[in-house]
Amino acid sequence: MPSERAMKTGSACPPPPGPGKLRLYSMRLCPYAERTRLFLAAKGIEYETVNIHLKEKPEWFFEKTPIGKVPVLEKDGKIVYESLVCNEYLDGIHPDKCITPRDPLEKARQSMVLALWDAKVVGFYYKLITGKEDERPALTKQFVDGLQYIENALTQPFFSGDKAGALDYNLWPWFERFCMLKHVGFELSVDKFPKLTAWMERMLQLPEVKACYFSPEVHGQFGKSWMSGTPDFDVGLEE
Amino acid sequence: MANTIRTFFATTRPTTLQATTLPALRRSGSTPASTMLPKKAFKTGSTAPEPPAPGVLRLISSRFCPYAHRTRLVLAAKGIDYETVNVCLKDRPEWFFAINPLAKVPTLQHDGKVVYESLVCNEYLDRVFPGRKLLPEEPLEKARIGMLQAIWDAKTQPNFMKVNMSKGEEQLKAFVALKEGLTLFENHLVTSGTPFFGGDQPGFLDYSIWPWFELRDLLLVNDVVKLQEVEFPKLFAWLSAMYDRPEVKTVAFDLDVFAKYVATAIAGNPDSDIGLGDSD
Repeated sequence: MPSERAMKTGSACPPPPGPGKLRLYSMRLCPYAERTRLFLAAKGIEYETVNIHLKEKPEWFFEKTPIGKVPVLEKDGKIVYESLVCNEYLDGIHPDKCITPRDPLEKARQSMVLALWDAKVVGFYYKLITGKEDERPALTKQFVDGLQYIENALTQPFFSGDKAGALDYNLWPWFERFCMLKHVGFELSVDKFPKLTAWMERMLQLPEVKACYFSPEVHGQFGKSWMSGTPDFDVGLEE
Repeated sequence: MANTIRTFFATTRPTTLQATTLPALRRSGSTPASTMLPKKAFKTGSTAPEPPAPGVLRLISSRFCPYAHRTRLVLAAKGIDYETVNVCLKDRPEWFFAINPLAKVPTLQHDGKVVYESLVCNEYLDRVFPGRKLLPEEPLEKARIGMLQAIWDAKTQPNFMKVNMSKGEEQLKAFVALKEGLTLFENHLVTSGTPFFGGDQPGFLDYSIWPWFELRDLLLVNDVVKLQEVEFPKLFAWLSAMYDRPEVKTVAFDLDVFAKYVATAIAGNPDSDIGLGDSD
């Protein structure tokens, strides 16, 4: 059983995956990599994982992707990187159980919600976690104002309709990590965000979400280690 | 001259009609007086223009925005008719936020539908309108476009801007980084052996990156930061080939006017109406 431990600078490049085998280069706690893990789980695709140490990246990793970020997919000598590109690619090579919307307007709508997320929410999420105490009231207001756009975009049980789809999986990882905002004073209020609260509960019931899930405790430990300057990418792994 | 095909949305799919049967519809650049849209940018405090007439595609844009230019290129490449409303990006009209909460250009309006984000607009136009497909269907080919786009966003375009906005040592460092970012594009053309990133004709990625190349003489101002053909032979051939394309010529920036616009921006008061007449 290959190790889940994050591979570092100076490590030997693992041999390529066997013929027809899919490999995911990942980091266990990375929300962007989780987008692709969710697609893989939702589509029931088998794969092996190589985790990457994101502070001391192995030199060989940059041969696979010049950007040096996870997630990266490798299969039969083909490499795909960028979470959203990986996800669409998975739907392209496994067209049964297609998650990416086929309708062009719906695909555009989902992309626009992600653009709103990137512009109005996710930056403040990270700033709240890493920022100073006196900055919190202003940052929280911006975060909450931004989150309202996402609440408003949720007009059905899932962002994608009756069932979870691309947008649900592409947004979920940060909602899984909302527990990290508790210590800066933010909790998702059911009064202010009734639809998002209900959506989170629905998502947590899905087997694919459970398969990719890490507990608030593990996320909290990782977050603490990150803030201390020595992130523990192997948090939660047994010796 | 190729026939321009006007395309409409039915409830489920577009129907195509010849241009001459629809005199009420405006072609970009020729507007009947009764439905004239100004070229001058709408600003804060302005009254919103009437929504586009049924079946009319409207592009909310800005004359000097390279992101809006991506969409102008795709509209021209696919022969799609549209009308333009320009907005001031420094003093944005309040009504624009109601259409697009990010209030950014390009934004498309069509029969009540709104699409924004340049590459989302471009993919939408490519899939919904007939004509040459600009995005590949094959999953790995499509992924390659997405990955090159990510390299552009991470390593190339930011360095175009950094070179433009820095001096001395910092500028030289940014120039080295820009050339590293461009090498990946050069290598792609070497591997593909095709004149364009889209193959024998320009495709999605060609139009996505073109605006910065068209503006390169304004962005890379010093002699020490000029790109050399000997270092990027495929990219230089690509530049020539792109300049020859009718769609590139149709929407090309007027670089003299653009330079004047840049001067107003440097002076602290960007004037996106520069070069327009009083009746525009």
